[in-house]
Amino acid sequence: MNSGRGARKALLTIHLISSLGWIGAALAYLALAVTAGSSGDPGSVRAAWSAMELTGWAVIVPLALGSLATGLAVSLLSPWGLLRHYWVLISLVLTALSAAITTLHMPDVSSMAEMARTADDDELLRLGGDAFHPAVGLVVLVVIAVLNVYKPRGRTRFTW
Amino acid sequence: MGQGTGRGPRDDVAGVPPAPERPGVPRWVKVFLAVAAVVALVLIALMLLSGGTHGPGRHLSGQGSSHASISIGASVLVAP
Repeated sequence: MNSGRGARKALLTIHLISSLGWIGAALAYLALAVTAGSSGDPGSVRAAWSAMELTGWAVIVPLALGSLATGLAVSLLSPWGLLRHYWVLISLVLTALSAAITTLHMPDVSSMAEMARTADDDELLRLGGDAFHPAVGLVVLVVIAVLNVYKPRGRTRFTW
Repeated sequence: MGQGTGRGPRDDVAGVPPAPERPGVPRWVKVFLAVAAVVALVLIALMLLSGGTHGPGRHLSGQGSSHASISIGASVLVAP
């Protein structure tokens, strides 16, 4: 195995770990978000929002940005290219959008977590959850995973 | 975007992409884009119907928690 192929394999390994880890973390976030939106126990709601904030900033955002960065690198270093094939191009767009929206959404989560820390019990139970973002995000991530596994045919006009 | 798990040795990072195909946009891409467009339109319509309050920082204007509940409800209308 030459060094170039070895580096690509290493990058691919990191990319797979980041991408699958992102899906797992999003599932955990979804479970917390459902709890925050449906629990009748103020303590559980408060804990769920704190855990969502921590999971988002410490796990989901790094994994999302890592997945995007390693995906770019792997694509550019492989014969598939970044823009040559529709499945790679669509995966790139969906990954970039998902990573951007996830990162931009996190300040809102922090704000809600801060409200949850200071709200009284009645306010906490009216705070609601945040299940839609991770639910739709998971659908998008699964679509990306399917595209990456099946690699449907189709070349674009780009050569890069 | 990455290579994922391939269909065989030829599909790994050092593999060779398939041979050139017929010109034009494949049917699966057209279907994919049509479905994505419909989903995007539905999400935009829902956002507009909810008052168009979705966007970064919408929770940072200092409203009380009851308003925050409404805002988070609107926030879920555009995703992921």
